[in-house]
Amino acid sequence: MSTSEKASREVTVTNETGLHARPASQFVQKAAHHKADIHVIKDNRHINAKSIMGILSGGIAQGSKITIEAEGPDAQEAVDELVDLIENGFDDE
Amino acid sequence: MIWEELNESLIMNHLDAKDSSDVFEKIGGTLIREGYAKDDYVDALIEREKDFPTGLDIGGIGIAIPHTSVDHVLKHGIAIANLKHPVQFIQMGMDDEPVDAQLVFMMAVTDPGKHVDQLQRLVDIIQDRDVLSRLLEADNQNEIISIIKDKEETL
Repeated sequence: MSTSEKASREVTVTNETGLHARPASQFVQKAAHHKADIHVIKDNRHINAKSIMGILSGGIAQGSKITIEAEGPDAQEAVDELVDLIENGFDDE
Repeated sequence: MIWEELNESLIMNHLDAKDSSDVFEKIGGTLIREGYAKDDYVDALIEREKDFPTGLDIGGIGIAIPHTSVDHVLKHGIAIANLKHPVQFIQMGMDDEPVDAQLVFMMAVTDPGKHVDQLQRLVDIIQDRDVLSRLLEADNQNEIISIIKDKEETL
């Protein structure tokens, strides 16, 4: 039996370019620091949050509603951190 | 710009592949032979594709963008093939929704952070259905390079 932690939260992307180039890169790097499996769910599509190509191809624009879902030892922390990144904007914007 | 870095030896026109594994072996094998990827690249592609499929349906045109973690890559490069017969891939982010891929963009990425602009540009290119339909018809390497060049000049 797995006792693995699960967490998820919905968030609306507010920064102007969405998860384009640099924001996508920052997002993926933050996701990659966590042990948990992390997915971004958009329109029923489960995108691997640690894959730059997945995120770039996800068409996540300003105004997109996405759900961040994680499963693994640091799932809650991962979701909180990524939601915070999206809500509070990205460093270089 | 992507087109400036395209290498004719990594472009395959009307590639005859029977399934996705065959696609990985033929295109991935070329990346290994040309010094872009390590010997375990093809196995790594196949494994990763099982966990994270890379098929996409762009307005009815099926494509696939297979790639691996940087551990299996030696040098940054992009291989492009249009396929003689469509080959079934699973759509990105879906459990088992198939798509018949007719175009494959296989990436050897050494540092996703460093190449993020180029990857974004590739995504912009592959999201343009007209570009894809021209790439499908391309009969030689130069044609593929010039279609991508034309598109990049509009970005």
